[in-house]
Amino acid sequence: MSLLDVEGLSVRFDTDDGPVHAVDQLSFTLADGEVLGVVGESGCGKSVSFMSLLRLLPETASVSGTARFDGIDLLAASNARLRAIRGRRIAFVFQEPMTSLNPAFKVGNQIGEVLRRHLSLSRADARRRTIELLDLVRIPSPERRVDEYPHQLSGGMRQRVMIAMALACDPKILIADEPTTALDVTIQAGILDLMRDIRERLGTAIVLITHNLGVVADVADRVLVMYAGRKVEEAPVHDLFARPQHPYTVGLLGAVPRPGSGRLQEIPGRVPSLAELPKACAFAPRCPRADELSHSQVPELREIEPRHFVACFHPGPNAEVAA
Amino acid sequence: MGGFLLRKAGAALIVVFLSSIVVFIGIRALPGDPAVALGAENRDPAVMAAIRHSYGLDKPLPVQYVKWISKALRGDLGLDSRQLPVGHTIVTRLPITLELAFLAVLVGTSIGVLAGVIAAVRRGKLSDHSATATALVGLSVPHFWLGLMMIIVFAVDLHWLPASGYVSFRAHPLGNLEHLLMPALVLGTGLSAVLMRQTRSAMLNSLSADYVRTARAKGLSERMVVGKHALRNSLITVTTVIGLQLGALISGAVITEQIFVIPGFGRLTLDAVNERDYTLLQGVVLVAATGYVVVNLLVDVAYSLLNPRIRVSGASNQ
Amino acid sequence: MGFVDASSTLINPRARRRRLLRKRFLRRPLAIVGLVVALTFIVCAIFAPVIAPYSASATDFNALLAHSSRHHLLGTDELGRDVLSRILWGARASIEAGVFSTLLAMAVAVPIGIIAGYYRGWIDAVIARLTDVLLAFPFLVVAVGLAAILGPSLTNATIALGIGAAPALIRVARGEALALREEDYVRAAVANGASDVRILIRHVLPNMLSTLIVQATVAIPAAIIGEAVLSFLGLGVQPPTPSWGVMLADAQSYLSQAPRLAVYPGIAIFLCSLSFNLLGDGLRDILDPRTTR
Repeated sequence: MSLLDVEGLSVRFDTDDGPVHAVDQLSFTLADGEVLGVVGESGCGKSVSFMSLLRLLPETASVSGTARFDGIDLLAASNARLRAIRGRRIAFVFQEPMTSLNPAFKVGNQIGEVLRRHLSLSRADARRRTIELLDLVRIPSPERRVDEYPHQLSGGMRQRVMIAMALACDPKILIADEPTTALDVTIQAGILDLMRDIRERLGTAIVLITHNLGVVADVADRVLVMYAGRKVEEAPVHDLFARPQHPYTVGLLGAVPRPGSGRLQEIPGRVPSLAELPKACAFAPRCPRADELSHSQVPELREIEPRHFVACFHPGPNAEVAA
Repeated sequence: MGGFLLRKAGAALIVVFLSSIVVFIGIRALPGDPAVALGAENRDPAVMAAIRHSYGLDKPLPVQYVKWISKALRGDLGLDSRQLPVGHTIVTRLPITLELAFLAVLVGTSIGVLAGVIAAVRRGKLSDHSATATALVGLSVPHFWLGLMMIIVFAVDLHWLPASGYVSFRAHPLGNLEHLLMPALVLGTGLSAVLMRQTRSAMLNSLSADYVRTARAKGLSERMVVGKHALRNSLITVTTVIGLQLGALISGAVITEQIFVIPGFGRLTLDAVNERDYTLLQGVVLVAATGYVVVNLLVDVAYSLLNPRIRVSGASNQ
Repeated sequence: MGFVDASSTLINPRARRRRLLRKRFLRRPLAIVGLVVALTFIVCAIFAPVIAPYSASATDFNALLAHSSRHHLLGTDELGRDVLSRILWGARASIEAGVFSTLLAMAVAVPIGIIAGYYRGWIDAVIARLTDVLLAFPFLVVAVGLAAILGPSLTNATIALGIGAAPALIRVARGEALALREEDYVRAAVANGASDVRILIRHVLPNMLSTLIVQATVAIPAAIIGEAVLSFLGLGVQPPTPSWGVMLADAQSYLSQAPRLAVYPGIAIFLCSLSFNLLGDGLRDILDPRTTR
């Protein structure tokens, strides 16, 4: 049985200028100790999907579907029940380490309050454990850092603090939303390395949300590709890289810088606004393979080889998109 | 923090200095010869010249300024038209106004901040709409008129509270509060309306900040999320607003004291104008401007204490 | 390559924005009420001689401190003057002080603020200190000084209110200019060798206009209340010229006999400033760049 089982997740925002459909009928599972990469351009609904699971979206969002975790449906659970899960069993690392830490409190205080909230540690015990956690995420001289404010730390350090905070209660699932995007390249490698290390040492299941396939390539076990609020492809990481099926995935792969492949390719056009769900393949306007069928029907998700799913009328690994 | 406060204190000194020049020149710009005013009925040229000489009015302006300001620094603000020392008059009147202002700020901030927090947390709900509407009314209503209405209702009709006057706290604590209750409410209304709106918008800002999402993702209770993470950062903004409202508070004190006949600093200001007592006016304005700058400096201290980005210097290891 | 750029399907962005703003304004009934009431007060101020049933100073000794009646809808004051007429005439002083002091403050503050924000450096520091000095003299203190030097009058009260409103506007204009100078189109203009004056007038000023309009709309009600305060204290409009503040000052002596004399002018001040505040709030909401895009 899987650790997390999401069925038919849809998220809609009600804005001044009408409803916006951010996620449409998303289903997926996450196994114990698995690393799932979730990939797509910004605005494709990947962050929104996972924030909706813990009810972290603004009140303008309406969420439907089910998300079974440890015998309860997260989407139907009471707020109190959910609060006991947040930070304790499912933890988040957000994209912006600069703004995700509260500037008014010491980092030790911010990590400590998770421990005190969920594990009822005393102030002294929380502090001791906090220092251990800072050490675990490889922050040098943690005894000193524990009493510093976020603005005294570099971006990479802050992201490590965020990770320490997320790991504080030894959660079953760690959801990392673009954990490396705001950091420069050398620091990115360190953070990814840390993620791998965590999975090995703690057995935590990790959801790694990113717009960059290169990031998931060496960390993830399985990859889920999203476009315009829908899942368009899902496969074990090796299958996906060896035989990408959806033209969008093919395009994304073209955007991964690889040695010898020359210039970085870009997918022409941009993610459509989700004011209305198209009764067609959402990618069709940008797709070189699109035909009448693509413009008039929503492609169903089908299993093209074992554990490899794609939602496209014309799947295949040829790389015209990137031409 | 030292550097920040030192800079602020330096700026404050410059502002006080420039303000004193403005006051000095402003008084010189008054129509009529001060010697005539000081000489009262006596227009004899010899007496005039003697007065000019004894007051140093025959010296060049910069010399007069230096003399005036060096005396003022020692607390000597000259003698008013009744030959009473201005400094002493101000010192006896100021505490009354300070008490009034303190009570008004107390009322204004507690109501304003509380209402602002509640409105932000319950955004779009009935309590938000009613708090926002009340604040808009509080902002639009002329508070001195509110004072008149309160006098009509609570003093004239119901006889609950005295309409005017003042007794000192030491002589009669309860009577003191009875006399200051309506004035403090009147003076605090505008402040609480402004603070409510500012607190609400600051709270809405912090409530949508990434770190509040982090706090929620940690599983903290809503009380901790709002009361600790969001409020602390909002207070930093709100402190600066209190500093900016100080001028309105000083203006408000003048008219409040006029309506409730409170013998404070504000009434002294109006008396000085009505009696054309320029030495007194000069002293009063100088003290008001200096007081404004000093309180603003205190606000800056509070701001830096609340804001670790100023209290503790930045990254050492970028 | 067969793809459609999503942005090319949009129509002229400026027309779209204007339509969006109108839609947003019409969706805010309170702002519309504010606009209507504010316009009503302005019309009253302009056409007071035509609308008012009596002249502001006509006394009726047969009806001193009269209750409201068919002849005097809101009653009469201690000299038998019609309260309704005086309130209608009084709108003139309030609107005049509100509008002109705000225009004065804008005329002074906007250029100073733009220069401070655009050039930064020492000139910004000097302007900041001078603004602080200005702030150290609350409008009532300035009004007291002006009344002492030039004598009390509506004009001097208006000047005092304008000076009082200037520092806040300087800061707003400075902040906007500071942000706008980093915008691409300003940088592009600099790179193209446009003169500073041209950049400030063609690129910086128009782009801070919506913020300034909102600021002006909130400065007007503050000035209207300020005028009432000054006239109440005898530092503004001088009797027998009708003004809401003067009416309240006169009414103070009759609080127990005729409290209504203190009620009506206050309601007029309240409604007038409320209408501008409602309008300002509405404009702020719809022009807020964070929600407009």
